[in-house]
Amino acid sequence: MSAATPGGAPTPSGQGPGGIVVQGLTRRFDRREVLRGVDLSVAPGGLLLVLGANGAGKTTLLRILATLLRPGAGRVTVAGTDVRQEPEAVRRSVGFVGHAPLLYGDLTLGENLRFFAAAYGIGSPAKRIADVVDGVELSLRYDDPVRELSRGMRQRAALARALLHRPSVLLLDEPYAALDERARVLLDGILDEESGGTTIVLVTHEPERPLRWATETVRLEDGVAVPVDGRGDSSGGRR
Amino acid sequence: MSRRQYLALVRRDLLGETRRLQSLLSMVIFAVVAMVVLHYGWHAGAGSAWAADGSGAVPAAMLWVVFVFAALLGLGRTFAHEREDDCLDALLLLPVDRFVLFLAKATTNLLLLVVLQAIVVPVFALFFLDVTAWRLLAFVPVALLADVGMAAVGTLLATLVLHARSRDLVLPVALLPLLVPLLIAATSATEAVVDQGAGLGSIAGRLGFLAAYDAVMLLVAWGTYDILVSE
Amino acid sequence: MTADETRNPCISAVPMSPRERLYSAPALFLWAALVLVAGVLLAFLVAPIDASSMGFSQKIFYFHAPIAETALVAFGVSFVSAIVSLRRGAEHASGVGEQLEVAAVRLGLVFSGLVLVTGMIWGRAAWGVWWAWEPRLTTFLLAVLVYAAYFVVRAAVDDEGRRAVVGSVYAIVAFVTVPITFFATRYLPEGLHPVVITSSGARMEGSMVLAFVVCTAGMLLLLAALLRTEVTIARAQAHVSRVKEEIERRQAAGPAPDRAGVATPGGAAERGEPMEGTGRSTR
Repeated sequence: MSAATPGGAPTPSGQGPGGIVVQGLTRRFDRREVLRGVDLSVAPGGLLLVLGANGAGKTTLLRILATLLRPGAGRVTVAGTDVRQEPEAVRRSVGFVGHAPLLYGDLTLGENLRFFAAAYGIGSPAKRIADVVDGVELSLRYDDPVRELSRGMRQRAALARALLHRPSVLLLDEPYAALDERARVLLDGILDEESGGTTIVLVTHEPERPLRWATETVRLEDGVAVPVDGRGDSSGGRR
Repeated sequence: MSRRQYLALVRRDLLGETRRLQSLLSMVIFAVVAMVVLHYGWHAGAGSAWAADGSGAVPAAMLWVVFVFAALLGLGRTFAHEREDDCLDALLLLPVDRFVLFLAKATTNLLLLVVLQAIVVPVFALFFLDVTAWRLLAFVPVALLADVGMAAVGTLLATLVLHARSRDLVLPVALLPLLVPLLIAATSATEAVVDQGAGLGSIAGRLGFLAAYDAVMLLVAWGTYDILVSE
Repeated sequence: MTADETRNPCISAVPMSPRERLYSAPALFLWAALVLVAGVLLAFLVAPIDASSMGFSQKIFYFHAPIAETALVAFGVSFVSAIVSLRRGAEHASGVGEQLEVAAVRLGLVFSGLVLVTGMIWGRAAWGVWWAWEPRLTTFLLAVLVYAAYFVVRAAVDDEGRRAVVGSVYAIVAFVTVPITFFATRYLPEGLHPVVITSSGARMEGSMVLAFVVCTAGMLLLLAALLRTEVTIARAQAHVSRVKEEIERRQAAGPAPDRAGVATPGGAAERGEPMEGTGRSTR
């Protein structure tokens, strides 16, 4: 088990608390093989950028890491835990932001977060919720039903939900989409703060922005993960 | 010209129906099950006051017929919030055993059913029955046991059809036949206790049966829920 | 697809041993036919006419009861198959297990329908009514309804994998409902006088028992033959689908060096090189 130095060079293996290791991951939907043997690893505290065309399987990969989807064949370890053996333990350590904000529209932001805080067993939830809501600059909207928030605000609220339980792994699926510039700066700030400590996997179509924190980048093509160098070009054999 | 268009529309609809057979078959199944339920509501017990009297009074057991159809509507709403707000994933991301999710949903459904009964039963009694309130109270244990079973199977089935199309049609069709044994016991017990004024002791067997039904259904849910609700 | 998978699973590469031939589908039909014919002969020629009021029409019992038992066996097969499928996990839910489950339900449904028909004929002969709310008829009526709904539920799910899981779970719930219903109709409510179709109890003479047993065996063999046939057909259909997909895939990849589907872990693939042999397995 190699320890990672926060913010330092990524260690070759993702073992250890907060790391991610994927070996030979396959997954099919209705006979279509979306993932055909994905291998990648993210060191604890590292940030992995996942690029790829639409339908390449980026969201599928992320959902498998989040235990929302079962893997086909292969081994997937998140935060040091196998997703097949102990999915509950994995979920405790994972914060997920997908395309949907995953909040109940009828409930206020506060009610939503109180529910999640209770469901995640967070101690002194009131303080933690306040902190997190402050962090995404939604304090003024605390008592508004989520249904009434704009798309950008809901995306920020989703971030709050994902960070609420202090996950050691953050999974973000195109988090910049639907955010205005101010919110993007906010997200940058969050990434800046979290990277190095929290392991992050970020799926995006705009790699330029989060590139500065990325410790590695892959592109999903034909169901496999191809390493990508800093300039965004694919190259082979660089492992 | 509009006559041709009309025919074209009808023809297309019929073609679609035959492709997927569902609607007609579903309605037929439902109608027949409804008749079975009606039978047990109507003839829940031999020698009941109704049978002897035949004066047009309605057997108390018929309230189950009314109630179960209302319940079918409500049970379909089990995951409505998650579906409407697209946040089912929020529940699936929680670090809890999936069976606990089932229990939570089933509990909500149970409460829903109990409240519904508390409203519907007095109204039914008002319209159709001529019994004292005491007898209605004796009905409570029967109702509770039956409600637990309905909530359990109902929640399980609601999860089954979570991602299905024509959910509103499929859920009642799939759920009602499974409830028949429960309704047989419940109607019989209700008949004994409300119409005939029998004591709880005489329906002990039926209550035991209801409890067994509940236990079996909960067991099946426990065994299958995780794989059912995951992808 | 590998060379293995392009081979039709329904045509054995190795000739069947004489032993295997004994229980292949055609053989099973033959066995079933032989036994059933024997059963019919026994029922009509050897077994005595029942002393009860029913007389000759009692003989329908030799079909009604075996068919009923066979229906229950079919449902039992679906139940076991469903449990096995689910235990192996969602990835394995669709496959031979699913095909067996669906075939078993379908056959159970057909046999149950026959139970109802023969039961109604019996009822008409014995009591002059076409229908009676008695335990066996009611239970099989419910079985027909529950298992018909099985197909409705499955048809409503588009995703193949999910459909298999949903079907299996429903098959499990459906199966436990059948004996529960029987128990409910037979033992409660106390006081209802059910018109019970008895099997004439212990009063059955030796030759009647023999005819009954032989007919039962014949029905079960028939079930086995039908199941086997259904599963084989389903496998053949699945195979055809797979081959079609493979053809489409190769056509889409084009006549040029086949670079589609090559995935060597680690990213050190030399891309663009012509492929040797067949493509990656789609399993």
